[in-house]
Amino acid sequence: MTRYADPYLAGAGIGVVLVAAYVLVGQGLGASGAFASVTAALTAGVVGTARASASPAVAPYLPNGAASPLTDWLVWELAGVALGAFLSAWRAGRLARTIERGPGTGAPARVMTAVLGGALMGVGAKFARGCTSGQALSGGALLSVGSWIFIVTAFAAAFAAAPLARRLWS
Amino acid sequence: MSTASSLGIALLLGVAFGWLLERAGLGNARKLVGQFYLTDLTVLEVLFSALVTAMLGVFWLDRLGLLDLRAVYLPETFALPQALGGALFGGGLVLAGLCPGTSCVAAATGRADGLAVIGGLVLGILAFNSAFDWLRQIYASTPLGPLTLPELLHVPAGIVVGTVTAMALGVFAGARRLRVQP
Amino acid sequence: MTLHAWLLAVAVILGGGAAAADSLLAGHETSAVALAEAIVNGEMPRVFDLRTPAEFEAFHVPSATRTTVRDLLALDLPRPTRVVLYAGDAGEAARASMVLRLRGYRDVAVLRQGLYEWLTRVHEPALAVDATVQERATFERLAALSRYFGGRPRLDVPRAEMPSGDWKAGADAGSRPSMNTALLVAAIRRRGC
Repeated sequence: MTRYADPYLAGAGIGVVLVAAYVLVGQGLGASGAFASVTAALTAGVVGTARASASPAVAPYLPNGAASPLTDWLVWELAGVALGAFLSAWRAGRLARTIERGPGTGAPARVMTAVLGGALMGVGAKFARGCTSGQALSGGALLSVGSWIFIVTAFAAAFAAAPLARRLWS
Repeated sequence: MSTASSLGIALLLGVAFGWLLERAGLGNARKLVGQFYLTDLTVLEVLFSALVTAMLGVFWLDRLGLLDLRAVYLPETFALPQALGGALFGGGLVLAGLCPGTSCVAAATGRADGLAVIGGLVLGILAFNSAFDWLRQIYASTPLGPLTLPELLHVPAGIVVGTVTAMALGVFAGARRLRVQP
Repeated sequence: MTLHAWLLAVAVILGGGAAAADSLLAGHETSAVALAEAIVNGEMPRVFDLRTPAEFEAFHVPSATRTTVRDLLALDLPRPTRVVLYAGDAGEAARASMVLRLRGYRDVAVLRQGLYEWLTRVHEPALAVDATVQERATFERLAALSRYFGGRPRLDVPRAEMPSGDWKAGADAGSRPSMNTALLVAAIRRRGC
């Protein structure tokens, strides 16, 4: 199994990818937006596009009343993230069907807290109009005030909540 | 640029992003969460070196006339909901051990916890959408439009850029010290 | 040198350079109102517009001449001449002022927010419906300037439609007045000056 890459080198590389995104398509990288888009499509699939478009929260993701994750830039980007991650792990011998969890945590507990944590992040990302990729990284590099507000509050909350979750991870 | 080439570029950029995230080890929840117990500082190191690299790249490309900043999408600022969202997000991050982007990295490399986080994200978004009528007022409050730190602070952009770079380097120096004394 | 040392060196050079570029080499800022008053008082500042010929044709600050950064490299004026620049965005204006400063021009100023401020404070100053006494006093002064340049002061503007901008201080690389400016110019041309 290969060692992890130097974090500064990886970070600089990600920064270059981000600049390439600005130059080539005029926008930064993101992630939560893709999830919102796919969720909107699922919603439309379940309750029908008419009802879905009636919801002001979902309507923005249904241009012309049609679900469009397949033409959503962020969805394709995220698909690429999955592919790139797979290829990297494959080459490094890090592919593993497993559940990363603290030594004292059972798999069911880990999965439940992962879902709960994901749900909190989902709500948070909606309020914040983005996540660590879209706001902290991409918006932060453009010096957007809201993105920096997000960086500060997200890190502060994570550090503050860490002691409460210690048993999960140690 | 056609939609097809734009989406193709999205895919390629994503591949590079995902590759690098995995290389840095951020597809591993235990490694990622170590940031908040100060046992593994990879998150800060990767995030801020990426941010600084992109920030410097954008600044200088703009100054050299190679990038038209007017054509780059700047997200709008909504002070209150973004502060609230950040707090919720940070709390969720420590529970889940992965963020939306890295959950895809984890899932793609075989980690079922990545899939669980993805499931949770969808549930959270569904919950938000369902409750939107109640949340709408907070969601849309304190709109400040596309606003940058230089504009807010009335300080030239180059000075903000230099300061952020210096701050990041300071954080990296601190990280180094923490690494050395376990 | 190690990898980290290289990255550190690049960060310091580019970050430090950014701060230097915007503090030492930057031209100072001036407001459109100050520029208008300078022109009215016969101080004859040399005003340069760095935008495209089409944008210049549509509207430009009275007495401005169009130029490019390349032309500025060859510009030959007495070095103490007062020069005022404006462009489509702050980065461009900053570059141009850097070029002139490096060439020895000592009095180089950049119009904050470019043409937008001129349009909204000199050409078409607006008085809010619920204006305060102080705002009325300022408006009188702006209206006089506006009439000198053949502009059109606007009265009874709803507060929500009052133009806003960074009139006070600081270069703003992130501001996008050019979009508003284009709309304003188009509206002016439709109405006819």
